[in-house]
Amino acid sequence: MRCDVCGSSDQVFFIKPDGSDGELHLCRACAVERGYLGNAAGLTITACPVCGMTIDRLRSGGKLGCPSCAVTFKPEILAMQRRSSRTSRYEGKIPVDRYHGPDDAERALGALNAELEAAIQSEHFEEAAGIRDRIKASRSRDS
Amino acid sequence: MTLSSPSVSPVAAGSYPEFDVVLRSTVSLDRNVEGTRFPNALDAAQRRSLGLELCAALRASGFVVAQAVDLEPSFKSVLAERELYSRPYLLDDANAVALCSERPAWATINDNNHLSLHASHPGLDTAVAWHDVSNSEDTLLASSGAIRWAFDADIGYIMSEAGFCGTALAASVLIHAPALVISGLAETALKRAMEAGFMISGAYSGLGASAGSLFELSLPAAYHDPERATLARLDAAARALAEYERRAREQLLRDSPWDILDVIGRALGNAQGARLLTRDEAADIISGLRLGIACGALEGMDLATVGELWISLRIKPPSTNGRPPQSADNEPETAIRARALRHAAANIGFSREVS
Repeated sequence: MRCDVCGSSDQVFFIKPDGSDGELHLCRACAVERGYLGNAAGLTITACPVCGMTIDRLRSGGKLGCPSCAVTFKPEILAMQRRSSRTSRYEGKIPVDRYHGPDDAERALGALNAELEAAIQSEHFEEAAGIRDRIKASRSRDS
Repeated sequence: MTLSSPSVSPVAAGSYPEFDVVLRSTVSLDRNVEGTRFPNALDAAQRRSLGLELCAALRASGFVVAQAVDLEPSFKSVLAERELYSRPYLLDDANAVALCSERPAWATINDNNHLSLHASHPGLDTAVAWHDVSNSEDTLLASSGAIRWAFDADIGYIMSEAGFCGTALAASVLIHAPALVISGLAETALKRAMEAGFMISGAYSGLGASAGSLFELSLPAAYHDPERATLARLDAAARALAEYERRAREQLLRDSPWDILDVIGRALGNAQGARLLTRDEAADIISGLRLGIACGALEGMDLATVGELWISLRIKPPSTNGRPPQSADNEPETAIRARALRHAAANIGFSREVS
Protein backbone atom coordinates (compact mmCIF):
# COMPACT_ATOMS: atom_id res chain seq x y z
CA MET A 1 0.00 0.00 0.00
CA ARG A 2 1.32 3.44 -0.91
CA CYS A 3 0.58 6.93 0.35
CA ASP A 4 -2.02 8.68 -1.86
CA VAL A 5 -0.07 11.95 -1.66
CA CYS A 6 3.62 11.11 -1.96
CA GLY A 7 3.62 7.46 -3.01
CA SER A 8 5.78 6.40 -0.04
CA SER A 9 5.21 2.86 1.23
CA ASP A 10 6.47 3.60 4.76
CA GLN A 11 3.85 3.25 7.56
CA VAL A 12 0.70 3.94 5.53
CA PHE A 13 -2.37 4.86 7.61
CA PHE A 14 -5.96 4.30 6.54
CA ILE A 15 -7.81 7.53 7.37
CA LYS A 16 -11.53 8.19 7.07
CA PRO A 17 -12.05 11.97 7.06
CA ASP A 18 -15.11 13.28 9.00
CA GLY A 19 -18.25 13.52 6.88
CA SER A 20 -16.76 11.56 4.05
CA ASP A 21 -17.50 8.02 2.89
CA GLY A 22 -14.11 7.69 1.24
CA GLU A 23 -10.83 6.56 2.72
CA LEU A 24 -7.41 8.14 2.49
CA HIS A 25 -4.12 6.25 2.55
CA LEU A 26 -1.43 8.51 3.97
CA CYS A 27 2.10 7.96 5.22
CA ARG A 28 2.97 9.31 8.68
CA ALA A 29 4.59 12.47 7.33
CA CYS A 30 1.65 13.38 5.07
CA ALA A 31 -0.88 12.51 7.80
CA VAL A 32 0.89 14.76 10.35
CA GLU A 33 1.28 17.48 7.75
CA ARG A 34 -2.49 17.46 7.13
CA GLY A 35 -3.42 17.31 10.82
CA TYR A 36 -4.87 13.76 10.77
CA LEU A 37 -2.21 12.51 13.20
CA GLY A 38 -0.71 14.18 16.26
CA ASN A 39 3.00 14.64 16.13
CA ALA A 40 3.50 12.70 19.38
CA ALA A 41 6.59 10.98 18.07
CA GLY A 42 8.20 14.37 17.56
CA LEU A 43 8.47 13.63 13.87
CA THR A 44 10.41 16.35 12.08
CA ILE A 45 8.89 17.00 8.71
CA THR A 46 11.34 18.72 6.42
CA ALA A 47 9.42 20.53 3.75
CA CYS A 48 10.41 23.06 1.11
CA PRO A 49 9.15 26.46 2.30
CA VAL A 50 8.28 27.47 -1.26
CA CYS A 51 6.42 24.47 -2.71
CA GLY A 52 5.82 22.21 0.32
CA MET A 53 7.73 19.22 -1.10
CA THR A 54 8.63 16.75 1.66
CA ILE A 55 11.62 14.44 1.93
CA ASP A 56 9.36 11.37 1.71
CA ARG A 57 7.89 12.56 -1.55
CA LEU A 58 11.34 13.30 -2.91
CA ARG A 59 12.58 9.83 -1.94
CA SER A 60 9.61 8.06 -3.47
CA GLY A 61 9.21 10.10 -6.64
CA GLY A 62 12.73 11.42 -7.21
CA LYS A 63 11.32 14.78 -8.34
CA LEU A 64 11.85 18.23 -6.88
CA GLY A 65 8.97 20.72 -6.77
CA CYS A 66 10.91 23.90 -7.37
CA PRO A 67 14.55 25.07 -7.48
CA SER A 68 14.34 26.05 -3.78
CA CYS A 69 13.93 22.36 -2.91
CA ALA A 70 17.65 22.02 -3.68
CA VAL A 71 18.46 24.23 -0.69
CA THR A 72 16.11 22.31 1.64
CA PHE A 73 17.20 18.85 0.51
CA LYS A 74 20.82 19.61 -0.32
CA PRO A 75 22.35 16.80 1.83
CA GLU A 76 20.00 14.26 0.23
CA ILE A 77 20.86 15.39 -3.32
CA LEU A 78 24.59 15.54 -2.61
CA ALA A 79 24.50 12.01 -1.16
CA MET A 80 22.72 10.82 -4.30
CA GLN A 81 25.34 12.48 -6.52
CA ARG A 82 28.28 11.12 -4.48
CA ARG A 83 27.05 7.58 -5.03
CA SER A 84 27.42 7.95 -8.81
CA SER A 85 29.94 10.68 -9.48
CA ARG A 86 33.68 10.34 -9.92
CA THR A 87 34.43 13.64 -8.21
CA SER A 88 33.07 14.88 -4.88
CA ARG A 89 32.80 18.53 -5.81
CA TYR A 90 31.01 20.09 -8.74
CA GLU A 91 33.49 20.73 -11.54
CA GLY A 92 31.18 21.51 -14.44
CA LYS A 93 30.29 24.76 -16.14
CA ILE A 94 29.43 27.68 -13.84
CA PRO A 95 26.99 30.41 -14.92
CA VAL A 96 28.97 33.55 -15.72
CA ASP A 97 27.03 35.60 -13.16
CA ARG A 98 28.03 33.26 -10.28
CA TYR A 99 31.72 33.92 -9.94
CA HIS A 100 31.67 35.07 -6.34
CA GLY A 101 35.26 34.73 -5.34
CA PRO A 102 38.72 33.63 -6.32
CA ASP A 103 37.78 29.98 -5.70
CA ASP A 104 34.94 30.06 -8.24
CA ALA A 105 37.03 32.05 -10.67
CA GLU A 106 39.91 29.62 -10.32
CA ARG A 107 37.59 26.67 -10.84
CA ALA A 108 36.04 28.25 -13.92
CA LEU A 109 39.45 29.13 -15.33
CA GLY A 110 40.66 25.59 -14.68
CA ALA A 111 37.66 24.18 -16.58
CA LEU A 112 38.22 26.61 -19.45
CA ASN A 113 41.92 25.74 -19.65
CA ALA A 114 41.03 22.04 -19.78
CA GLU A 115 38.56 22.83 -22.58
CA LEU A 116 41.22 24.79 -24.44
CA GLU A 117 43.70 21.94 -24.18
CA ALA A 118 41.13 19.39 -25.38
CA ALA A 119 40.11 21.63 -28.29
CA ILE A 120 43.74 22.04 -29.38
CA GLN A 121 44.44 18.33 -29.05
CA SER A 122 41.39 17.45 -31.13
CA GLU A 123 42.46 20.14 -33.66
CA HIS A 124 39.27 22.19 -33.27
CA PHE A 125 41.20 25.42 -33.65
CA GLU A 126 38.23 27.71 -34.28
CA GLU A 127 36.67 26.49 -31.06
CA ALA A 128 40.01 26.88 -29.26
CA ALA A 129 40.15 30.53 -30.32
CA GLY A 130 36.68 31.09 -28.80
CA ILE A 131 37.74 29.45 -25.52
CA ARG A 132 40.93 31.53 -25.45
CA ASP A 133 38.77 34.68 -25.75
CA ARG A 134 36.58 33.47 -22.86
CA ILE A 135 39.70 32.89 -20.72
CA LYS A 136 40.93 36.40 -21.53
CA ALA A 137 37.51 37.88 -20.69
CA SER A 138 37.37 35.90 -17.45
CA ARG A 139 40.89 37.04 -16.41
CA SER A 140 40.12 40.69 -17.13
CA ARG A 141 36.84 40.43 -15.17
CA ASP A 142 38.58 38.92 -12.13
CA SER A 143 41.59 41.25 -12.10
CA MET B 1 4.68 28.07 -41.57
CA THR B 2 8.14 26.53 -41.72
CA LEU B 3 11.47 27.66 -40.22
CA SER B 4 14.90 27.66 -41.74
CA SER B 5 17.93 26.49 -39.77
CA PRO B 6 21.02 24.27 -40.19
CA SER B 7 19.35 21.83 -37.78
CA VAL B 8 16.62 20.99 -40.32
CA SER B 9 18.88 21.08 -43.38
CA PRO B 10 20.27 17.89 -44.94
CA VAL B 11 23.83 16.97 -43.97
CA ALA B 12 26.21 18.33 -46.60
CA ALA B 13 28.39 15.83 -48.44
CA GLY B 14 31.84 15.79 -46.89
CA SER B 15 34.07 13.94 -44.50
CA TYR B 16 33.18 13.81 -40.82
CA PRO B 17 34.96 11.99 -37.96
CA GLU B 18 34.15 8.24 -37.89
CA PHE B 19 31.30 8.90 -40.36
CA ASP B 20 31.55 5.40 -41.87
CA VAL B 21 30.05 4.09 -38.60
CA VAL B 22 28.83 7.07 -36.54
CA LEU B 23 25.91 8.97 -38.06
CA ARG B 24 25.64 11.85 -35.64
CA SER B 25 26.52 13.16 -32.17
CA THR B 26 23.99 15.09 -30.11
CA VAL B 27 24.62 17.09 -26.93
CA SER B 28 21.95 18.70 -24.71
CA LEU B 29 22.00 21.00 -21.69
CA ASP B 30 19.01 21.57 -19.41
CA ARG B 31 18.51 24.71 -17.36
CA ASN B 32 15.88 26.06 -14.94
CA VAL B 33 15.15 29.63 -13.99
CA GLU B 34 15.86 30.54 -10.39
CA GLY B 35 12.83 31.13 -8.17
CA THR B 36 10.34 29.55 -10.58
CA ARG B 37 8.61 26.22 -10.04
CA PHE B 38 9.36 23.41 -12.45
CA PRO B 39 7.15 23.12 -15.56
CA ASN B 40 4.96 20.30 -14.18
CA ALA B 41 4.03 22.51 -11.19
CA LEU B 42 3.27 25.68 -13.17
CA ASP B 43 -0.26 26.71 -14.08
CA ALA B 44 -1.10 27.70 -17.67
CA ALA B 45 -0.59 31.45 -17.08
CA GLN B 46 2.78 30.95 -15.39
CA ARG B 47 3.93 28.59 -18.15
CA ARG B 48 2.91 31.13 -20.76
CA SER B 49 4.67 33.99 -19.00
CA LEU B 50 7.91 32.02 -18.55
CA GLY B 51 7.66 30.73 -22.12
CA LEU B 52 7.39 34.29 -23.47
CA GLU B 53 10.42 35.40 -21.43
CA LEU B 54 12.56 32.48 -22.67
CA CYS B 55 11.35 32.89 -26.28
CA ALA B 56 12.34 36.59 -26.19
CA ALA B 57 15.80 35.66 -24.87
CA LEU B 58 16.20 32.98 -27.56
CA ARG B 59 15.15 35.42 -30.30
CA ALA B 60 17.67 37.96 -29.02
CA SER B 61 20.41 35.33 -29.22
CA GLY B 62 19.85 34.33 -32.85
CA PHE B 63 17.10 31.71 -32.68
CA VAL B 64 14.00 31.73 -34.89
CA VAL B 65 10.99 30.95 -32.73
CA ALA B 66 7.42 29.86 -33.57
CA GLN B 67 4.49 28.36 -31.72
CA ALA B 68 3.76 24.72 -32.60
CA VAL B 69 0.22 25.70 -33.61
CA ASP B 70 1.58 27.93 -36.40
CA LEU B 71 3.74 25.24 -38.00
CA GLU B 72 2.68 23.20 -41.05
CA PRO B 73 2.02 19.53 -40.22
CA SER B 74 4.64 18.41 -42.75
CA PHE B 75 7.26 20.63 -41.05
CA LYS B 76 6.30 19.17 -37.67
CA SER B 77 6.88 15.74 -39.18
CA VAL B 78 10.36 16.88 -40.30
CA LEU B 79 11.13 18.13 -36.77
CA ALA B 80 9.96 14.85 -35.26
CA GLU B 81 11.75 12.55 -37.72
CA ARG B 82 14.98 14.51 -37.37
CA GLU B 83 14.49 13.88 -33.64
CA LEU B 84 14.66 17.57 -32.75
CA TYR B 85 11.31 17.47 -30.91
CA SER B 86 9.14 14.66 -29.62
CA ARG B 87 5.70 14.20 -31.18
CA PRO B 88 3.88 14.84 -27.85
CA TYR B 89 5.79 18.15 -27.51
CA LEU B 90 4.75 19.20 -31.03
CA LEU B 91 1.14 18.17 -30.43
CA ASP B 92 0.79 20.75 -27.64
CA ASP B 93 -0.11 23.93 -29.54
CA ALA B 94 1.16 26.12 -26.70
CA ASN B 95 4.71 24.81 -27.02
CA ALA B 96 7.36 26.78 -28.85
CA VAL B 97 9.85 25.60 -31.46
CA ALA B 98 13.17 27.47 -31.46
CA LEU B 99 15.88 26.78 -34.04
CA CYS B 100 19.23 28.53 -34.16
CA SER B 101 19.69 30.30 -37.49
CA GLU B 102 23.49 29.96 -37.50
CA ARG B 103 24.30 26.63 -35.87
CA PRO B 104 22.65 23.18 -35.89
CA ALA B 105 21.20 23.94 -32.47
CA TRP B 106 17.62 24.08 -31.18
CA ALA B 107 15.76 24.57 -27.90
CA THR B 108 12.74 23.15 -26.10
CA ILE B 109 10.88 25.25 -23.55
CA ASN B 110 8.93 24.07 -20.51
CA ASP B 111 9.29 20.38 -21.29
CA ASN B 112 10.82 18.50 -18.33
CA ASN B 113 12.83 21.59 -17.37
CA HIS B 114 12.41 25.25 -18.23
CA LEU B 115 14.91 25.25 -21.08
CA SER B 116 16.78 22.53 -22.96
CA LEU B 117 19.42 23.48 -25.51
CA HIS B 118 20.51 20.86 -28.03
CA ALA B 119 23.03 20.63 -30.86
CA SER B 120 23.84 17.86 -33.29
CA HIS B 121 26.71 17.28 -35.72
CA PRO B 122 27.34 14.54 -38.28
CA GLY B 123 29.88 11.89 -37.33
CA LEU B 124 31.57 11.60 -33.94
CA ASP B 125 31.90 15.24 -32.94
CA THR B 126 30.60 15.72 -29.41
CA ALA B 127 33.22 18.44 -28.79
CA VAL B 128 31.78 20.66 -31.52
CA ALA B 129 28.21 19.90 -30.46
CA TRP B 130 29.14 20.83 -26.87
CA HIS B 131 30.74 24.03 -28.10
CA ASP B 132 27.47 24.89 -29.92
CA VAL B 133 25.18 24.33 -26.91
CA SER B 134 27.56 26.03 -24.51
CA ASN B 135 27.92 29.01 -26.85
CA SER B 136 24.14 29.18 -27.33
CA GLU B 137 23.72 29.31 -23.56
CA ASP B 138 26.37 32.02 -23.11
CA THR B 139 24.84 34.12 -25.89
CA LEU B 140 21.36 33.69 -24.44
CA LEU B 141 22.48 34.81 -20.96
CA ALA B 142 24.43 37.74 -22.38
CA SER B 143 21.54 38.94 -24.53
CA SER B 144 18.78 38.53 -21.94
CA GLY B 145 20.57 39.99 -18.92
CA ALA B 146 17.62 39.19 -16.63
CA ILE B 147 17.63 35.39 -16.67
CA ARG B 148 19.42 33.72 -13.77
CA TRP B 149 19.72 29.94 -13.66
CA ALA B 150 18.89 27.82 -10.61
CA PHE B 151 22.41 26.81 -9.60
CA ASP B 152 24.16 25.68 -6.44
CA ALA B 153 27.96 25.73 -6.21
CA ASP B 154 28.04 22.23 -4.64
CA ILE B 155 25.19 20.52 -6.49
CA GLY B 156 25.45 22.17 -9.89
CA TYR B 157 22.40 23.10 -11.98
CA ILE B 158 19.10 22.27 -10.29
CA MET B 159 16.83 19.98 -12.31
CA SER B 160 13.25 18.82 -11.81
CA GLU B 161 14.53 15.23 -11.46
CA ALA B 162 16.80 15.15 -8.41
CA GLY B 163 18.87 12.44 -10.07
CA PHE B 164 19.81 14.74 -12.96
CA CYS B 165 21.04 17.72 -10.91
CA GLY B 166 24.65 18.59 -11.70
CA THR B 167 26.00 19.49 -15.11
CA ALA B 168 22.58 18.57 -16.61
CA LEU B 169 24.47 17.34 -19.63
CA ALA B 170 23.04 14.69 -21.93
CA ALA B 171 24.78 13.30 -24.98
CA SER B 172 24.28 10.49 -27.43
CA VAL B 173 25.93 9.04 -30.49
CA LEU B 174 24.06 7.21 -33.26
CA ILE B 175 26.01 4.17 -34.42
CA HIS B 176 25.42 2.06 -37.52
CA ALA B 177 26.65 -1.45 -36.79
CA PRO B 178 25.32 -3.84 -39.46
CA ALA B 179 28.48 -5.96 -39.66
CA LEU B 180 28.35 -6.64 -35.92
CA VAL B 181 24.71 -7.73 -36.37
CA ILE B 182 25.49 -9.95 -39.40
CA SER B 183 28.41 -11.61 -37.63
CA GLY B 184 26.45 -12.06 -34.39
CA LEU B 185 28.86 -9.93 -32.36
CA ALA B 186 26.54 -6.99 -31.68
CA GLU B 187 25.19 -8.34 -28.41
CA THR B 188 28.71 -8.85 -26.98
CA ALA B 189 29.94 -5.43 -28.13
CA LEU B 190 26.90 -3.52 -26.92
CA LYS B 191 26.74 -5.38 -23.63
CA ARG B 192 30.35 -4.36 -23.01
CA ALA B 193 29.40 -0.72 -23.50
CA MET B 194 26.46 -1.17 -21.12
CA GLU B 195 28.75 -2.73 -18.53
CA ALA B 196 30.94 0.37 -18.79
CA GLY B 197 27.92 2.41 -17.68
CA PHE B 198 26.59 3.66 -21.03
CA MET B 199 23.01 3.29 -22.15
CA ILE B 200 22.17 1.64 -25.44
CA SER B 201 18.81 1.89 -27.14
CA GLY B 202 18.05 -0.54 -29.89
CA ALA B 203 17.50 -4.23 -30.28
CA TYR B 204 19.80 -5.24 -27.47
CA SER B 205 18.57 -3.03 -24.67
CA GLY B 206 15.02 -4.27 -24.42
CA LEU B 207 13.77 -0.75 -25.07
CA GLY B 208 12.59 -1.52 -28.59
CA ALA B 209 13.68 -3.00 -31.86
CA SER B 210 16.51 -1.42 -33.78
CA ALA B 211 15.48 -0.80 -37.36
CA GLY B 212 18.41 -0.71 -39.74
CA SER B 213 21.09 -1.86 -37.27
CA LEU B 214 21.14 1.59 -35.66
CA PHE B 215 22.08 1.89 -32.00
CA GLU B 216 22.14 4.95 -29.81
CA LEU B 217 24.94 5.09 -27.27
CA SER B 218 24.20 7.62 -24.54
CA LEU B 219 25.74 8.96 -21.36
CA PRO B 220 24.41 8.17 -17.93
CA ALA B 221 23.73 11.22 -15.69
CA ALA B 222 26.97 13.20 -15.44
CA TYR B 223 26.54 14.92 -12.01
CA HIS B 224 29.77 16.68 -11.00
CA ASP B 225 32.28 15.74 -13.67
CA PRO B 226 33.46 18.42 -16.11
CA GLU B 227 31.48 18.29 -19.34
CA ARG B 228 34.55 17.79 -21.52
CA ALA B 229 35.77 14.82 -19.48
CA THR B 230 32.31 13.25 -19.57
CA LEU B 231 32.04 13.68 -23.33
CA ALA B 232 35.56 12.29 -23.80
CA ARG B 233 34.38 9.06 -22.11
CA LEU B 234 31.45 8.83 -24.54
CA ASP B 235 33.78 9.51 -27.48
CA ALA B 236 36.16 6.77 -26.36
CA ALA B 237 33.32 4.24 -26.07
CA ALA B 238 31.90 5.25 -29.48
CA ARG B 239 35.34 5.03 -31.06
CA ALA B 240 35.87 1.55 -29.62
CA LEU B 241 32.50 0.40 -31.01
CA ALA B 242 33.28 1.97 -34.39
CA GLU B 243 36.60 0.14 -34.49
CA TYR B 244 34.87 -3.11 -33.57
CA GLU B 245 32.34 -2.60 -36.38
CA ARG B 246 35.11 -1.80 -38.88
CA ARG B 247 37.01 -4.95 -37.96
CA ALA B 248 33.81 -6.98 -38.35
CA ARG B 249 33.29 -5.49 -41.84
CA GLU B 250 36.88 -6.27 -42.86
CA GLN B 251 36.67 -9.77 -41.49
CA LEU B 252 33.38 -10.47 -43.28
CA LEU B 253 34.71 -9.15 -46.59
CA ARG B 254 37.87 -11.23 -46.22
CA ASP B 255 36.56 -14.50 -44.78
CA SER B 256 32.95 -14.79 -45.91
CA PRO B 257 32.25 -12.09 -48.51
CA TRP B 258 29.03 -13.84 -49.63
CA ASP B 259 27.44 -13.08 -46.23
CA ILE B 260 28.04 -9.35 -46.35
CA LEU B 261 27.65 -8.96 -50.13
CA ASP B 262 24.35 -10.82 -50.00
CA VAL B 263 22.98 -8.27 -47.50
CA ILE B 264 24.27 -5.40 -49.63
CA GLY B 265 23.05 -6.93 -52.91
CA ARG B 266 19.58 -7.67 -51.56
CA ALA B 267 19.36 -4.11 -50.23
CA LEU B 268 20.31 -2.74 -53.65
CA GLY B 269 17.84 -5.05 -55.42
CA ASN B 270 15.01 -4.05 -53.10
CA ALA B 271 15.90 -0.36 -53.29
CA GLN B 272 15.74 -0.44 -57.08
CA GLY B 273 12.87 -2.88 -57.47
CA ALA B 274 10.48 -2.84 -54.50
CA ARG B 275 6.97 -1.52 -55.13
CA LEU B 276 5.73 -1.39 -51.51
CA LEU B 277 7.89 -0.52 -48.51
CA THR B 278 7.05 -0.04 -44.85
CA ARG B 279 9.22 2.31 -42.78
CA ASP B 280 11.07 -0.56 -41.13
CA GLU B 281 11.70 -2.30 -44.46
CA ALA B 282 13.03 0.97 -45.87
CA ALA B 283 15.31 1.38 -42.83
CA ASP B 284 16.78 -2.10 -43.33
CA ILE B 285 17.33 -1.48 -47.04
CA ILE B 286 19.07 1.84 -46.37
CA SER B 287 21.20 0.12 -43.75
CA GLY B 288 22.37 -2.35 -46.41
CA LEU B 289 23.06 0.47 -48.89
CA ARG B 290 25.01 2.46 -46.30
CA LEU B 291 27.05 -0.61 -45.40
CA GLY B 292 27.84 -1.20 -49.09
CA ILE B 293 28.86 2.43 -49.65
CA ALA B 294 30.91 2.62 -46.42
CA CYS B 295 32.95 -0.47 -47.27
CA GLY B 296 33.39 0.40 -50.93
CA ALA B 297 31.19 -2.35 -52.38
CA LEU B 298 28.65 0.14 -53.77
CA GLU B 299 29.14 3.43 -55.55
CA GLY B 300 26.89 6.15 -56.92
CA MET B 301 25.85 7.79 -53.64
CA ASP B 302 27.76 9.37 -50.73
CA LEU B 303 27.33 8.56 -47.04
CA ALA B 304 25.67 11.88 -46.20
CA THR B 305 22.97 11.35 -48.86
CA VAL B 306 22.23 7.77 -47.87
CA GLY B 307 22.00 8.92 -44.21
CA GLU B 308 19.47 11.57 -45.21
CA LEU B 309 17.34 8.87 -46.90
CA TRP B 310 16.91 7.27 -43.49
CA ILE B 311 15.14 10.40 -42.29
CA SER B 312 13.34 11.46 -45.47
CA LEU B 313 11.75 8.04 -45.99
CA ARG B 314 10.32 8.14 -42.47
CA ILE B 315 8.66 11.47 -43.11
CA LYS B 316 5.21 11.13 -44.59
CA PRO B 317 5.67 10.74 -48.36
CA PRO B 318 4.25 14.13 -49.49
CA SER B 319 7.33 15.80 -48.04
CA THR B 320 9.81 13.05 -48.96
CA ASN B 321 12.95 14.82 -50.06
CA GLY B 322 10.86 17.90 -50.63
CA ARG B 323 10.01 16.97 -54.23
CA PRO B 324 8.67 13.45 -54.78
CA PRO B 325 7.54 12.11 -58.13
CA GLN B 326 3.86 12.84 -58.77
CA SER B 327 1.65 10.34 -56.97
CA ALA B 328 -1.43 8.74 -58.45
CA ASP B 329 -4.69 9.07 -56.52
CA ASN B 330 -5.14 6.53 -53.74
CA GLU B 331 -1.54 5.36 -54.02
CA PRO B 332 -0.67 3.92 -50.61
CA GLU B 333 2.06 5.48 -48.49
CA THR B 334 4.16 2.31 -48.83
CA ALA B 335 4.08 2.60 -52.63
CA ILE B 336 5.07 6.28 -52.56
CA ARG B 337 7.95 5.43 -50.21
CA ALA B 338 9.14 2.62 -52.50
CA ARG B 339 8.96 4.91 -55.53
CA ALA B 340 10.97 7.62 -53.72
CA LEU B 341 13.64 5.05 -52.84
CA ARG B 342 13.78 3.65 -56.40
CA HIS B 343 14.21 7.20 -57.64
CA ALA B 344 17.00 7.94 -55.11
CA ALA B 345 18.82 4.64 -55.65
CA ALA B 346 18.67 4.65 -59.45
CA ASN B 347 22.38 5.44 -59.87
CA ILE B 348 23.77 3.10 -57.22
CA GLY B 349 25.62 0.03 -58.41
CA PHE B 350 28.32 -2.42 -57.37
CA SER B 351 31.83 -1.05 -57.68
CA ARG B 352 34.21 -2.60 -60.22
CA GLU B 353 36.33 -4.32 -57.57
CA VAL B 354 33.30 -6.24 -56.33
CA SER B 355 31.41 -6.94 -59.51
